[in-house]
Amino acid sequence: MDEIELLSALQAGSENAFKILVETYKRKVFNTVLAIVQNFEEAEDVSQEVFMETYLSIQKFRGDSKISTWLYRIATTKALEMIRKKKTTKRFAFFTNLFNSENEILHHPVNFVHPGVVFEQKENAKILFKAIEILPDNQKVAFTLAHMEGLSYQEITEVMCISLSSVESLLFRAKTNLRKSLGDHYKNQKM
Amino acid sequence: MENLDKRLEKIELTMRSIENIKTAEPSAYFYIRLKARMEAKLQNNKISIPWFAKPQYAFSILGCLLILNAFTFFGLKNRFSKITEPAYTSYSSYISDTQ
Repeated sequence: MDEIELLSALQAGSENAFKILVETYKRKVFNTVLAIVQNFEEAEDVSQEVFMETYLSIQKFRGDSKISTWLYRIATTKALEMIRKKKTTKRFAFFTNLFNSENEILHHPVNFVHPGVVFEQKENAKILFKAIEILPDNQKVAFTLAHMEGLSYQEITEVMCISLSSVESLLFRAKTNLRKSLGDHYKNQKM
Repeated sequence: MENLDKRLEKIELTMRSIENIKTAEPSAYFYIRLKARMEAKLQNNKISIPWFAKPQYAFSILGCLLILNAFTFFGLKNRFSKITEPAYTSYSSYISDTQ
């Protein structure tokens, strides 16, 4: 089933087409979301929301971009929404801890290791992901799409709806900021 | 100087740590869980009540209406109590006042 056929079947409400869509794109969506939210369970939740949103808004999709581009756009938006929600929860952490009588862990500590990183690079990748976490939203998205998903600059312009020069600028600033964060990190460590 | 070089080297090594990263797999039951979640959501949407019928909104609206009623009632009561009929001492003063 090619993309046009898949799209028309989806718009006709075919459950089989939806299953094909999920099976085809779940890894791409999950990986993108995972790199941004940096939590396995939350990434899976957000990925499911991405497909739910796709299902609900498939009639509005006119097919002027690739399905994968559209999915990446929804995935990055939803992942950033989740981060904002987490930040708000953290802001009220003091109160939620006050009112939570049971000793549940309400706010998970950040210690993310991507499962796809090779073993000998795990420690370095952990430090890099910590630095990625503090990047501004649009730099984080551009960096993730380019370096985790391997998207071309042209594809990133389509996902983020920005110009090519903006993508280049975002990626340059992202790398500069990451190097600066890593520099600060290693400065405090004995070399 | 040597320390700076080591640090720069470490930074570049860290930057390259996600090169050749493998794709992470979502859980095996991803589609089944997604389907169950969608069915639950559709079920909830079917039996969902309008926002104004939800207790928190309904009681807030009711409370606002009661407060408005009370203000109106006491406001009107005070206004009527202030209006007093002029006391006419004679028929000629009443006629001159109303003409």
